[in-house]
Amino acid sequence: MSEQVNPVLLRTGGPRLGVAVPVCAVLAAVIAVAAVAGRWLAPHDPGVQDLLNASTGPSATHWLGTDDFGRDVLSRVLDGAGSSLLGPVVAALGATLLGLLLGLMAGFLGGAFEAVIMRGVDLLYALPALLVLIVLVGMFGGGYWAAVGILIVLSTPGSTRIIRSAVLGQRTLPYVEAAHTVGLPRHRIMIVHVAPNVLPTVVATLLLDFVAALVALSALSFLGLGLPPGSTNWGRMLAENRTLLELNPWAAIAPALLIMIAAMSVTIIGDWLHGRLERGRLDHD
Amino acid sequence: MTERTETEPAVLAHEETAELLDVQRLVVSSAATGRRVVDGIDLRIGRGETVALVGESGSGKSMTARAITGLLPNGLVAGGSVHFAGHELLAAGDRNMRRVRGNGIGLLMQDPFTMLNPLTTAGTHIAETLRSHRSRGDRPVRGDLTGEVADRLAEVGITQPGAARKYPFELSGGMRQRVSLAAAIANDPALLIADEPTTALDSTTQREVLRLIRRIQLDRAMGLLLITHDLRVAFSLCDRILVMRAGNIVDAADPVTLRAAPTSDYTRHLLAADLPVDHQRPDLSVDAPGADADAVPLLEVTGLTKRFGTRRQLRGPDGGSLALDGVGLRLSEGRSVGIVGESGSGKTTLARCVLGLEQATSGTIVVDGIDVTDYRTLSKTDRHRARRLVQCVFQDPYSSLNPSHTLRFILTEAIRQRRDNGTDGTDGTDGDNEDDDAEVARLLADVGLPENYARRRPVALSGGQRQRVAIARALAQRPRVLVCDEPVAALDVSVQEQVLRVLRDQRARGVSLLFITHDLAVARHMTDELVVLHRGRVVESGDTADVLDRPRHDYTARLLAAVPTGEPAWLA
Repeated sequence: MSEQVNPVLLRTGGPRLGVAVPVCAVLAAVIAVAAVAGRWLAPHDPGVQDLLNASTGPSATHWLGTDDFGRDVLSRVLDGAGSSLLGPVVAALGATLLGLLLGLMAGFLGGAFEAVIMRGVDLLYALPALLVLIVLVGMFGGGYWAAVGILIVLSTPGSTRIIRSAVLGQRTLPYVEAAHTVGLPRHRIMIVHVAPNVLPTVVATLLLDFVAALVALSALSFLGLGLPPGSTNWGRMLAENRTLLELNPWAAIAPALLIMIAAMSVTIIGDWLHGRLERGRLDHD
Repeated sequence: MTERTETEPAVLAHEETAELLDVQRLVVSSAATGRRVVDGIDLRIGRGETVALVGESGSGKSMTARAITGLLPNGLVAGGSVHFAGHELLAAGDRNMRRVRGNGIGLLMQDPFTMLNPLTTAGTHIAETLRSHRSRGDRPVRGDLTGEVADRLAEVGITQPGAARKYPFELSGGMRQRVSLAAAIANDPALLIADEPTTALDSTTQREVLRLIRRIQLDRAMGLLLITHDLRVAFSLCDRILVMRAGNIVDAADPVTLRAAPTSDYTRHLLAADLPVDHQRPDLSVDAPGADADAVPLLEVTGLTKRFGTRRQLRGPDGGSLALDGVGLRLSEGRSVGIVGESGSGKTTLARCVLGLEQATSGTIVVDGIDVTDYRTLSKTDRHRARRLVQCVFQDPYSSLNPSHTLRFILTEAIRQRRDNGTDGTDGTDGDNEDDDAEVARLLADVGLPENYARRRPVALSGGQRQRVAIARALAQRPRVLVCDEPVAALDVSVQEQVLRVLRDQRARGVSLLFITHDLAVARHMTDELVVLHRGRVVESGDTADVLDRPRHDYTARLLAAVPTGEPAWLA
């Protein structure tokens, strides 16, 4: 078989793996394990108080020391991993799926759909998300999951815009026109043909939305909104333990560091994955 | 002018006896995998000599040029030696290479639409080249340059006052290529490397630009390395031709020898695959039913007009830009009608209107008794029937297949859609009991692909194979009209023939073709009737043989004259 050389194969400018991506992958994996199994991995009960040993620094029994009630910090960050990350995961999934649906409809169907969806998006986009979130949750309460719900609504416009522009790029390609001439119904072309080809963008949006939601929800918890005191949410722990900076700084640094590492590693992995998927669509599988 | 051309090369040759460019054992390979794109080729060009590097896509011809000029893309490395006017170029640093490019070697690339900076005027492009390569001591003042820029533009045939102040978007493709040429030769390089300089241009413009290159090359006794896929262009322009395949030079000879006695099978194959424009090769012909003026045509287009523009422009006095102006044509059962013309003539717009991808401004399109001028107003049954009757093969096989799906998925989907659309009684339903996989295999066999390809995705196929899959997808609808929009324009010569054979087989089975092409040789072989479009109007139509043998309209004659003959006289 005399295969032509695909010119794309010659281009070797694809994303490099480098050092950062594997390191971030390991960090993200560790955090993911903690999120799923943290409760059982914790060496101590995260809720048990030991006032005699309050605010001690790292030691053999308490690797990250204790907080001002004498609770084990390591156990608490492990226990809090799940609750700190579940909210952002739900928010990101919700915003991305909604964004995919709206972006596909606006980009592919056009016309009135596009006008209505995009004006709505513009409207929501004009609102300062974090501020609105703080005001709404602060005024009406409703707790953590209400905050996640509001966050979904507030981050959908961003995902919608990004996914719509990716859809617009696909809409005029001959394979879509070919599907029209075959006589396929529009919804089928939209879901079966266009959607898989905007997948790299969807994945990137999902991961970026996750990072934004993590930071926003942590900030909210830091302000004391949405979660009861004593909760092991990282943002909450950071707020409560900031007074211990001199006695046991790790009680505040550990949750802060974890938020940062989670956000950073997911961003870097997302960036690399997007490049890879884009390239994978063109190259040999 | 002619005196200079005869004396100057001799004088130069006297001064400098060595070859101008001497490439030895040039290897270009991937830094990561070591795979060789160019596999140890030798290439020599004397002063004032013209050499062509001919090959199909992936043969390594462009990478050879890039290696010589030190412009390899990231990830590719060059080995061997490249001597230019006594200097070794592969070992030269970036700084030295920059001096060689422009001063010693001029470069002309394929795409005139992206090669010029859109924010910079034509004159600045040339002035920049002039300025950047002058030694610091005698940097000319600004006034000097304006005059010189005008001279340079005049040399490439751009004499209108004010042309130097025009931006690339204000110039046509041919004009842009002229500006690029003027910039490439602004510093009087001893060697010009032209990489597919006319591939993106219309045929009539191609001839003008090639003539210009020829004249300037002779005037200046400049060496020329022409990189092309078109053997006939190489025959007309060059003293020596090197045929490249998979990184190796398989043939090297002067045009006459190469034509008469090619030494390699590959060159023989290339020469054989080349379609003549003046007669039809018997192996590609089909016994089409004769034209019957009384029969009801399968497809009839009358007075079709299409204007493009914003809503306000369309209502205004000019009515937007006119892409089609009262076009009419008839396609009878089993016949093949060709539509030829240059880019911008409205060929593709016509096809898109017929396919319902574009809405005509006025006029009618009737397919087998259904008025399909506006697909949106059709009843569901009529729309499905019309969709089934008319199918399309697009120009670019790289984007007309969904990269996310396997061939089985793509074909099965089309087959199921046909069943959903329902049988219309005109089509025997014999195959409809066939199971999907069997039909996929049969469709692949129809277009000459093995059954196990069904598992592959489009990325694993070559351009020609993809185009055959696109044809199979169209055939899955069992259409009676196949609209082919430049189906072989993006393919290599040797692959073109395979695709044309597949289409010929379909013609032989009674499928009618509406065949859009800019290539008159392809039109000669694939069509019974021709419609010549020029700026949205039909200027001539009739029997293909009649139109091509005895063109009645000037424009048709011009198109015919622009087809490369392979004789040096073509560029004289």
